[in-house]
Order: sequence, then C-alpha cells, then structure tokens
Amino acid sequence: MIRPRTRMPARGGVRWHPSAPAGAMRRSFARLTLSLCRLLFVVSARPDTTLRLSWLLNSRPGESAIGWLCSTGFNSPLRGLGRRALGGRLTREPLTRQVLLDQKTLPESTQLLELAADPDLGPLVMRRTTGHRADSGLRDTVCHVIVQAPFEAGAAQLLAAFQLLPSVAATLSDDNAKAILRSLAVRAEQPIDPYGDSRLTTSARTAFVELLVRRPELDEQVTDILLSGERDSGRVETIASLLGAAIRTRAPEGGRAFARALQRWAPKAEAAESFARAADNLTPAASEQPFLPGPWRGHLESIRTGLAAAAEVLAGPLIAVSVGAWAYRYKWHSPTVIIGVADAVAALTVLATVNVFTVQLSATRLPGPIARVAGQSRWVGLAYSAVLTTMALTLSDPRSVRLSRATSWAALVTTAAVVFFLAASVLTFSRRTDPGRAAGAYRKSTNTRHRAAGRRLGRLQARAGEIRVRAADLDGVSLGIEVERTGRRVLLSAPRRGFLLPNMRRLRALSRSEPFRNGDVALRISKGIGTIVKEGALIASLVPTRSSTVGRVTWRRARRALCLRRVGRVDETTSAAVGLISLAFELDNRADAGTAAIVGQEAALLVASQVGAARESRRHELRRQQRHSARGVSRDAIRPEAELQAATERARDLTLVPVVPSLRAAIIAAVSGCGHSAESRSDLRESMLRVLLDCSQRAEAGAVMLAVALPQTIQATQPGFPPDVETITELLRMSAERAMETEDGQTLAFVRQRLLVLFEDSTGRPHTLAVASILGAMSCWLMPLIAREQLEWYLGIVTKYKVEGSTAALLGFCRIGAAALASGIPSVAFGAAGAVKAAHSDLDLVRQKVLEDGVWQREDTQSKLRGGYLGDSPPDALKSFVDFVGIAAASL
Amino acid sequence: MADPEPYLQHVSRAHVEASAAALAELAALASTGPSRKGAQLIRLRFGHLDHGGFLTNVRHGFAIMPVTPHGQLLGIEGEILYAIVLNHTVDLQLRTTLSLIASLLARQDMVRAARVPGTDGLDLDITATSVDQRAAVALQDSLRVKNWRDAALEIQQRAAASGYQLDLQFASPLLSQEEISQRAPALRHVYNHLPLARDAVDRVAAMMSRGFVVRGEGVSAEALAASAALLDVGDIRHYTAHIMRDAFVCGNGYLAVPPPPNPLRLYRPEHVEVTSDSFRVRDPVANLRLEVPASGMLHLRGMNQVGGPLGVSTLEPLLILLGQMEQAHYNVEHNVPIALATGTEQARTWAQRAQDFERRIVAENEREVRDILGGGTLSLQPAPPDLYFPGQADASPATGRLHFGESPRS
Repeated sequence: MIRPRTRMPARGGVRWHPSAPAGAMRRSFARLTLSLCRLLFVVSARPDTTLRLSWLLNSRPGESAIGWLCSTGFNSPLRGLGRRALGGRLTREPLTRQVLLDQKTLPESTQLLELAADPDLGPLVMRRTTGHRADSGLRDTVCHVIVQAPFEAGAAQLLAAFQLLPSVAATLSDDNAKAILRSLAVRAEQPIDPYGDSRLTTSARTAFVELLVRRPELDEQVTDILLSGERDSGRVETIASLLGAAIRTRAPEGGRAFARALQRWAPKAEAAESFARAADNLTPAASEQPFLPGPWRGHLESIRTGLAAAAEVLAGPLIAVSVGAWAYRYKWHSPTVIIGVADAVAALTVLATVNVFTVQLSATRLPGPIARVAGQSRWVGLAYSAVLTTMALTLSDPRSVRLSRATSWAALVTTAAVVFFLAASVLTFSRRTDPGRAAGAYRKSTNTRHRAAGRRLGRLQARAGEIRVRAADLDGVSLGIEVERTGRRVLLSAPRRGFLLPNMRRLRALSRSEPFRNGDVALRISKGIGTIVKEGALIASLVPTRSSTVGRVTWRRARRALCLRRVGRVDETTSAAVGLISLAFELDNRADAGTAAIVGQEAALLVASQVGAARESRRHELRRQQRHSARGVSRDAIRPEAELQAATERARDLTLVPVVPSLRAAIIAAVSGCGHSAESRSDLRESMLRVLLDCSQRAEAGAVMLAVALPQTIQATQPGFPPDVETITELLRMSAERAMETEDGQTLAFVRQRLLVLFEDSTGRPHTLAVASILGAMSCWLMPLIAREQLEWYLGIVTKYKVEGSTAALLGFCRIGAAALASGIPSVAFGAAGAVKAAHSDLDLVRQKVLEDGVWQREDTQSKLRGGYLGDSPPDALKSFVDFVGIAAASL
Repeated sequence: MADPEPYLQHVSRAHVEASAAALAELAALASTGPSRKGAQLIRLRFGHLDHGGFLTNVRHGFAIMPVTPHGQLLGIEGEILYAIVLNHTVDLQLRTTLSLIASLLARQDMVRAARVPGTDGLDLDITATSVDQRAAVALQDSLRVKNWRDAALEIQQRAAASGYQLDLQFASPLLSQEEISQRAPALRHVYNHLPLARDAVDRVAAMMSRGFVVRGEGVSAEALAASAALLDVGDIRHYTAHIMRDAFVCGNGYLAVPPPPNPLRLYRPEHVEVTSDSFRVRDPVANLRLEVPASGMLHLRGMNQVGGPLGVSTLEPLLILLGQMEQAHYNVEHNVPIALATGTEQARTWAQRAQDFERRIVAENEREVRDILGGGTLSLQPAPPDLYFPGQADASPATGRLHFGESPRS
C-alpha cells in the first residue's frame, strides 16, 4: 500500500509535516498569533481608539515575524514566497489562512479556483483538494470554466480548472463529461512548440487522459471525435495517442479496451499501428523485492559456527574442570575405577580407528569433500577433545591426595564422555549414510565457509573492476585481449596459481619509473584481471622499443606488481558442487530420483549461497568505491565527474564481473550431465539449472554460461548428453527467460542466434519454432521493450523457412498475440494479427484450428508449465486474440 | 596488422591529468617560438573531447572548422582547432597530435606549391591524401626509433627550417561559450542536410527517449502505470528527443524542469549562458530574460569538453565534409554551365575536371561520414516518424548553404 505523501517538495529547504504532532503544535500557535493579530487590527481600526497598531503589523519586521510564526517549518511552506510575503498574506487574506492552517474545510468553489490559479498557493490547493471529497459547487465551477467561459476565466483559472478536473470527474453528469471532453479535445489537439509556452495544451492533454481514466465509458465519445477528424491526420494522431495513454492505465483490461476502440474506429493500418503503439504498456511488471534474510542472519550463522568450533575444542577441559572442582570441593573419595595412561591411549586408538573407518566408508560412496564432512561429525571433535583431556589428566602428577582424587574423577568422567561422544558420532554417521542427508549435512556445516569464500571473491571482483579502469590510464600500461607471443617482448608468467590482481601502488610506481616515463618499455597485461590463472600461465609481457631493452630491475618490479592472491576455499565450493551434481546424476541413473533431486538441490543451493554472498560483498565494495570517488570530486579541477561517473556505473553492478568459478563449474556439470542416462526423464537437470540461473544476475552472467555450455548443433552433442533437440531448446529457453528477467539483451541475442543454428536441422524445427514463439510471448511480460523485436525475429524465421501456412507457425503467432494482448502491448498483438491475416485469409478456419478441442487444452498446459506465458487464463487469452484478429482485419 | 587500440568508455581523473600534462608538454616542445621575419605563422589550438561512443572508436581526433553564424567556413588563415578524443590511451593521443602537426606542415608545403600560377586546385584532394600518407609514414618511422619528446623536437626543428612559426596551445576547454553558440546554426544545417548525420542523431535520440521505462520494486502496478502515463501525456519522450537532438547537434541541450504542474520547456542553446550555479536565458526573439537555478534545468551535452561545463556538437567532424561537398556542388551547378556555354576546349576540360572533382569529393566524403558515424549508432533501431513534435522535424534556426569565402548571396 502506498501511503499518501503529505510532505511538500523538498526543494529550498522546505519542511512541512502537517500530520506530525510538532506541526499541529505550530499550527495551534500560529492560529493563536493570528487571532491576536486580527484582534489588534479590529481594535486599532475602531474610530474611538487611540491604539494604532496596523503600521506595526504591516511593517517589514512585523510581517516577517508573523510569516515566521505561521510557517509550519523552518522555511515558508510556499515555494518562492518569503516569510514577509507570507506574513502579509496571512494577515490580510482569510483564504490563505484557511488553506494554510485549516486542514478540514476547503474554501468555497469560486474562491478555491482563484486560489488554485495562484502561482504560490496553487500546488498547495491541488494537494489539499485531492484529499477532500469534491462538492457540487466545485464540479459546476470547473465545468463552467472549461466549457462555457474558458476565455473569460483567463489562462490561469483555466489551467486550474484542468488540474481540478480529476477531482470532480467521477461526479460529472454524462452530458457535462462529454461537453468537457469535447472542449478538452479542441485544446489538446493544438500543436506544441517545445521552445515556447505550451502550458494550456499540455494541461488540457493531461486533463483529457485523466477524464478518460476515470470515465472509461467516454471512449466511445473519443472514437466519434476520431471518426469526425479523419481528414486531419495530425489531430487524429494526437487524440488517438491520448486515448492510448488512457487505455494503457487500465491494465489488464487495456487489450480489450483497445480492441473495442479499434473496432468502432476502424482506421487504416498506419493509424491503427500508431494508436496501438500509444496504448502499449511498456512498463514491466513491478518486481517484488524478495524477502531475503537480513545481514544479521549471516553474522548469527558465523557466531554459531564459531561457538560450535570453540565447544569442540573446550568440551573436554570444561567437563574435566567442572567434575574436578566438584569432587575437590565436596571431598569425594577415590573412584572405584581409575583411568590410567594405557586406558587413555586405548580410548584414543579406538576413536581414531572409528574416525578413519567412517571417513573411508563415506569416501567409497560420496565425493571427497562431502565424505570428509559426512564421516566426521561434530561429535568426533568433542570426543577428541575429551580423550585428549583424559590423556592429559592421566599424565598429570597431583601434589595432594585430595587433588589426585579430583583428577581421577575428572579422568573417569571425561572417559565416559568419550564413550558417549563416540556412540553419538557413530549414530550420526549411520544417519548420514543416506546421500541426501549427507549432502544436507555438508551444506549446513560448511555454509559459513562457502559464504566467507564468496564474500572474499566478491571483494576481489569489485577491486578487479576498479583496477581494470585505473591500470589502463597509467603511462605505458595497457590491457590486451590475450598475451601476445610474437615480436620482441619479455613474457611474464604466473609463479603460482591464484587470482590475478595487480597491486595498483606498485603498478603506478612502475609506470612512473624511467623506462616507462620515456616510453622505452610498455607493459601489456592480459585480460585475466580478477580471474584465476594457473601456475606458469602467461599473464603479461614487457615490450621494449627498438632502441631499448628490458632491464632486470624493470622485470622484477613488473613481476612484483602483478600480484597473485590465493584462491583459498573458492576451489572447495567448486569441487563440492561438481561432486554433488555428479552424485545426483549417478543416483538418478539408478532410478533414485527423490534422493537425486535432494542432492542436486543441495549442490545448487550451495553455489547459490556463495554467489549471493559474493554479490552482496561486491556491491558493498562497489558502493564504497563510489563514495570514495564522490569525495574526490571537489578536489579535481580538470574533469570533476569523470571518475565518479565510472564508479557510479560500476556500482550499478550491471557489467560483467570476473567469473564465479563455482557457478560456471556447476552449470557446465549440470549441462554435460556427467554420465547422465539419456533415457532418464526426470527434471533433475532443469531443476538444478533453474536454481543456478535464479541466483545469477546480469553481472554473473549465468544465463550466457548456460547458453555457451550447450552444444551448438544437434550433431555436436557430447556422449552422455541426451541427443534430443528438445532438451537443448528447453535449456536455451530457460537461458533466454533469465536473460529477459535480468534485461540482458546481449545474452538474449546470443540465444536467438543459437536457436537459428538449431533451426537449420529439420528434425528439431518444430521444437525450435515452439520455443521461439514462447520467447516472443514471454518477452511481452518480462521485457516489453523488446517484444516487437521478438515478434519480428519470429516472423523472420517463419518467412525464411517458408512455414507461414503451417499450424505450428499459426499457433506461434497466436501465442505471441495473446500474450501481447493480455499484457497490454496492443502494437505487438496488432503485428501478430497482421501476420495471421497475411498467412490465413479464412479467419473462421483460424478460429477452428486454434480453438478446437485438444489444441487450447494443450496450450493451457504448456503455458502453465512454462512460466505462464499466456497469463492467468490461457484459454481466454487465446480466444481474445482470435477475436482481435477479426477486428484488426478491418484495418489491415 | 596494428594492435587494436582500446577505447576507454570511462576515463578516470588520473587519465585526464596524465594526458593533459603530456599534451601540454608536447605543445611546449613543438612550438617554435618567435621566429625570423617573414616566417608563416601557424596557430593550432587542441584540446580534449569525449564523444561517449557516438562516433567511431577508431577516430582519434578531428579538426573543428571555424565557421560564422551565416555558414561561412573560414580557412586555416585563422586559428586551427583540433579535438583529441580523450577516450584513448595517452600514448595514442600523443601519436595523434604529432601526426596532426606533421600532416599540417606537409599540407602547407602542398598549398604553397598549389599557389603557383596555372594550377586550379581541382586535384588537391588527391594530392592531400598522398601528402597525409607520406607524413604519417614518416612519423611512424620516426617514432619507431625515438620517443615522442624527440619526435616533437624534430618536428619543431623541421618547421623552423622550412620557414614556419608554429604556435601550439593545449586548451582546456577547447571551445568557449561564444564559439559554441556561433557554430549552432551551421551545425543545424549539417543535421538538416546530411541524411546520415540526421539518421544517426535520430536513432540515438529515439533510443534515449523511447527507452524510458518506469520501474519500481515493491510498488503497486497502479502507481507504476500512473508514473508511466506521465511520461507520455507530459510528452516527456518528445522533449527528451528534442533535448538529445539539441545536445548532439548544437553541443548543448537545455530543458527547463519547473515544479509540477508547469510543463517542460526547451531553450535554444545559443540563448543560454551557463554560470556556476544558474542558467541565464536571454531570448531576443521572445523578449525573454530570466535566470533559472541549476536544479531547475536539465543540461545535456553532446561531446564533453574537459575543463568546462559546455559540450560540443557531435557533428563537428562532419561540418567540413559537408562544406566541401556543398562547395563542390555549387561550383558544378553554377560555374560549369558557364564554362560549357563558353565552348572553348580549355573551358570544357575545366568543366569535366570540376565535375570529376565533385564526384570524387562527394563519394570520398560520404564514405568518410559513414566511417565517422560507424560507431554503435547505426546498429540502433531506426527512429520512429513521430520522434519529434509535429512540425519540428528540421532543426531551426539553421544557416543556408555552407560556403568558403564570402557568401554569394551577401
């Protein structure tokens, strides 16, 4: 729910909060002051009094003081009106007082219109009026000014009447509404000079649309105006565009309203298309912010993990100290069983044996990183802590008998604790023999580590972006696409594996060094800044000019500047995710689809968790960089905004960042299938990829990773990958949908290109054609701006392969048209109708083909399974479009 | 094949400072200072511009032809202006500037030779191309064995020895407010009469104005629709297209954004003076004189100038090309019929050569215009027919035909 904004515009330090308690107090004080002023006026105006105070009230300090007292904020609530002028108005004009101070009643309608025409009070009056129920007086006044006396009232009052029209529109009689509409139409169709004053025309257009929004039944009146103005195309175009603007606000009924208007008007194709474009609702559906856990959740998780780790270490000593202190305090006798060194060593041996056994057993069934965690629960850690404490106790040499007894008790209890912990660990392990539980346990116990690795990766990504911009500016330093191997140059290789992240301080010092300053040597860095480079990989080259050579000092400084940061636990996430995905496919091959789905989901969530942490951290770092750049603006004299612009652009986090290794590896593993049986019909692959795609935004480029990982042609399918084109096209559809959701036009174009290649193969053509039309339909909902482009692309495919007359192509156009009509993009629906009409002259046959039993039911199911591309009610959407084709045919 | 030179989409402060310092040093090194009596003075002013990807990325700099408000193109007798594209590496900017100076000197030699009696200048285009190529090759050879400082000194010594007085200046900003205002009518003429330029500007204006989408997270669909309606009914897209066109064509676009319900309004760039905290509007035609605070006016720039608040037209590199084409066309249209009517063999030969010259100039300049605009603009969607307000398809007020020397009509 949107709360009405009661605050005045914030320009010029205006602060006015009429609803705030402080505002109420100030208003009361102002009323009191004004009452006193009025009293003084009355008293001083009496002929029998000698008190003459009006000079004081009307003096500059007097009016300023009154204005200051009555202004409800620190400044005047009226824009551009000083305190003195405000004070003057308040003392002399009761209407101003009423508008400013009285929140309950409005002035009489004629006076209200006068006040609305006031340049200072106008905006305030408008805001007040919208909050009140309009009375009949105001309605009649507005109607009179607009229809009967527009010239007598003057431009200011006419403008005010236009602005007040929405408040009274609902209460107007039909005749009055029509008369106003006609008057407004005459004003609205006047041409606008953008370099001149066109307030009346613009306000009339706004009022025209507002009236139509509130009174949809007037659409017919507008189509009559359109029909009467056929000879003047400019006039018709303006009025049609205004009707379109009104229709657009009526989503989701906009499509039907457009169809009705088109049916009644029946213009020529060009005018109809222009009208349709005006009615296009290109605003994508408002995305709801997902309810993500707050940042405290991550901290809480870290604290919990830290406490658990501390407990693992301190459990044994704590138990020993507690029991020992108790025994010492209450002077317990010696226990009947004394634990010796041999017993402690035996306990340790048993524990180690059980531990090795469980880990080995896990390793035979589970991937390495998961086996390590699944085979070693927290109970094992606790047991180790207890057994080591026992050993320490047995090795100790107490000085007194009392202390010796306490130590014996402590050793005994810690040994018992070892047995308990060991039994618990064995039970836990037995529960984790199920791969699904093991995967869940792995993610739960290592999530903090993976998120921490993700946060570090995010910071590296943000810094890599900054370094790329800054390094290119340095003298003699350039960024290449790949390290060149030709010509005279000294190659620099990576001394170890790691993230390539040059040290800017050293790089700057290098560029200021003598050989670089003189232009004798240049450094070319490969594109891999921020990515993992392998040991020995070529990362840069030093290029000397013909007359110079690369000195050893320069080489050493360059090598030191090209720092490599350790990869750390980023690799662990990658190998764990790939391992789990392989395990999921293995389970699926063994027909254990349920467990496979759980394991696959855990793998995808593991990656999603890291990607999310990386994004959070990256955006935080990018915002920090932006703030830092903003601080430096004032100090710069040459081009103040240059660096801030670049930082602001980066802070939007829409440009590609160095790849997240776990995301790429997981997508490739999920696509390649890792030995996945071609016969399997489970949706394991799709469900994993769906999570992976959803966790990836435009910067992480998950959608393009998926499109690239897929085989380019059907012939290029890899062993193990289901060689059916249906799977490939479905995955391409998923990639394109995500690209639309993230408004990634480049990826979408890439997917379209891939689909075109698949289209070359006649065996896959029906699937590709269907997917192409589904993408067109989805674009109407997800990315309306490119919906027209998608329709034209589909039309191009259909024309190129000469399948215009086929039922599949017809259904495709109906899909796109129905989605366009349902989502409120009539221009696309009109284009689709044109394509249908061009290919099928018999519209009854079209109706029969699309709406026959079996076809619409299948389409209904398909739509619901593929993201709801036909809206809430697919059959209705299809039927509406088929009807629309008949209506549009008159204009085509 | 030469290495592809990177185009820096966003330049940092360090980059601006480094390139400004290097170019200022180059100007100081290559200037000859007061020379001996009779030396020909060549004044060159160059500075940074950032075209933001509107022009092709492989264009490293371009000349800005002095022009009067009546469309008269002034030759190089005055000061030569040259814009260096800021979005390239410092090294490339230095090479571009050195190449410009070398080419300028070589062309001066060419002009001296063309002033010999008996030459009509109808093959100057061919000669100029070969002269430029030779100068560029010579500079490349020089830079292969020397650093840029030595190369600049070499050019300076060669200029002095050839009897030229080089007066180089690195300016920031390159053009003043008055110069930019004076050029606006001629640049509007370029927009109106060069279809490729019009198409490029319109495509970008359409992309920028039609691409407006209202978004919101956690906002009701009704509120979004109401905001979107404001875009259309308030003609914000039309106004945006106009301000974009003003910015690209004239260098600066000004759109007054008063508090609602007052509508938007554009001001012609030559009527607006930019001060530190406000915009002074002086429109002599509408007898308008007002001061708009900085927050009440949207100011867009075509190409960004370093060191100043004003922008420069993105059509600047095309002005001279259109001028040459129109001059050659005028020559053929007016003088060739006279020559043919004379009927002598010499006149017919001249007429034939003039027609060939016009064909070459038109073909070559159109190719160059296409190359210059070969950035991302041509890949954009074509502009819709209703991009601008009705009756505003042409930019006005614009000059008549561009011409060298005095206007034939004046």
